Amino acid sequence: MIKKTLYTCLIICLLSTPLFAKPEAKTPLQSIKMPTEKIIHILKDPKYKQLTPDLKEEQWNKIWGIVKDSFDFGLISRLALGRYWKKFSNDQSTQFKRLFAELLGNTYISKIQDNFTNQKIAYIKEKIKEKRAAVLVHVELTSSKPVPMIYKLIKKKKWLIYDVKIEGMSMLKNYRSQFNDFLFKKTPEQLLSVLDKKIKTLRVQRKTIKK
Amino acid sequence: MIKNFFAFTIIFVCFLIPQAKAVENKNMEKHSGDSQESILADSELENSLLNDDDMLTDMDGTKSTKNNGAIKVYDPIEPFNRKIFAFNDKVYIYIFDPVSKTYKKIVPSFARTGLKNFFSNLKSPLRIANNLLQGKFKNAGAETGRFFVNTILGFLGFFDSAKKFKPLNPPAEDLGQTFAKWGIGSGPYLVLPLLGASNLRDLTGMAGDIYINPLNQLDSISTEDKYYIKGEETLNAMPDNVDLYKTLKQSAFDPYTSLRNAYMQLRTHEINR
Repeated sequence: MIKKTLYTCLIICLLSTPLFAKPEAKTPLQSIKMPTEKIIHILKDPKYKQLTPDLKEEQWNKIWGIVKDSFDFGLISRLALGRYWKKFSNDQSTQFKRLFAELLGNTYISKIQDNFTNQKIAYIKEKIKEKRAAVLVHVELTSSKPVPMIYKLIKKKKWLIYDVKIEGMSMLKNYRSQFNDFLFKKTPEQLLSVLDKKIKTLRVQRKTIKK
Repeated sequence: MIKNFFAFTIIFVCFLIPQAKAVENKNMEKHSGDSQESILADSELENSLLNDDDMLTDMDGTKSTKNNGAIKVYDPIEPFNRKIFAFNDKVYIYIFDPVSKTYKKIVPSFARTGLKNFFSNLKSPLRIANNLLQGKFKNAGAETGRFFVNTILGFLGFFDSAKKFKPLNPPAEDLGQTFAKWGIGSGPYLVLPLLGASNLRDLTGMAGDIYINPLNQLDSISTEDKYYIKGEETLNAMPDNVDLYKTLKQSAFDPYTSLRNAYMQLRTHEINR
């Protein structure tokens, strides 16, 4: 009797392991879809229906946690600085990576928090070429044609995003042009101090509630 | 004797080529193999990561371009442009933004969308003409079909009934794009007062588009009414445009360079699709 119960327990345990295992994104498309769905779930959470500054900050932190795991900020920073990367000391590049990631997080996550109105997202297709991949997504809007977005990913331990293209405009190239233009005349220290100042104002802004 | 020598050389070379190729392949494999570590040092990979339009072809309807996506900046009057940019910024933030907010309060969302569709539909002949000028006859046909569907089924264009039919949704063409297709370069980058980013080619195109716009050709509408219509169109589009500008300004490190680059990327995309 005891033996039988033990066996049953063992079998149940064995069978249920796949259920407890964390679902892992294998393909580039899944690497976009899974975090996106998670973020939409947080945005729809009734808890955040009536946002207070504290709740908004909590929601922001949750989304930021997901975003941080999906993007390769090291590579993004490196590509955004281009040939000026060599002019940055180790400390400076670490600082740049942190500040730049926060700039992106502060502006775009807050934007989504303020403007999400249950838009549908269609995951259209993926294309893989060795260690690189691109995923096409359509954001469906009620007032106009769907907006095409392309995520570009690189395979590290898992697929990580390093660029987002909206309507043919690459965010990475856009930042690259800004930093290159600045560093053409100015130094890395100056760049870091401007970035730091910008983020301090954004940190305050991100807690405010948009009516 | 000489004949034999040639034959031997040819055989030798034929034997060597695959060998050399194999060595090359091996090197390449080695390269991508340890890319986990050296990824940041590899400028070739950096290039392919930035300009991987080759693999993006067909993804969003963009044709692959030979110039590997690099966009040249020609901004000879930058100091002057920056002054106009600063002026525009003040106007957008202190006048356009409050006006947009008030407009949004008065006009409900569905009416704004309806008006947007209406004005867009009015400009169909313009897009048809530009499709024809670029030799895109299929898209000209699609644009014509769209015009009829939306004018008849969409109550003079207030409803975008054709939105659901993909073949009736060709990309919007304008005279600036037509000029580009004809091989005319963009010319210097310009920041126009109130209107914002442009360049010499697109500014000329804009003037031409205004001229061929059927609305401006109609004599039955008085000049005064034309201004009202144009004014309402501008006002109706203002909330979206101001929102876009504010997002760009907030997310940018240097808003001037960011907008300039965004404009150039967007136009390149529109011209090549």
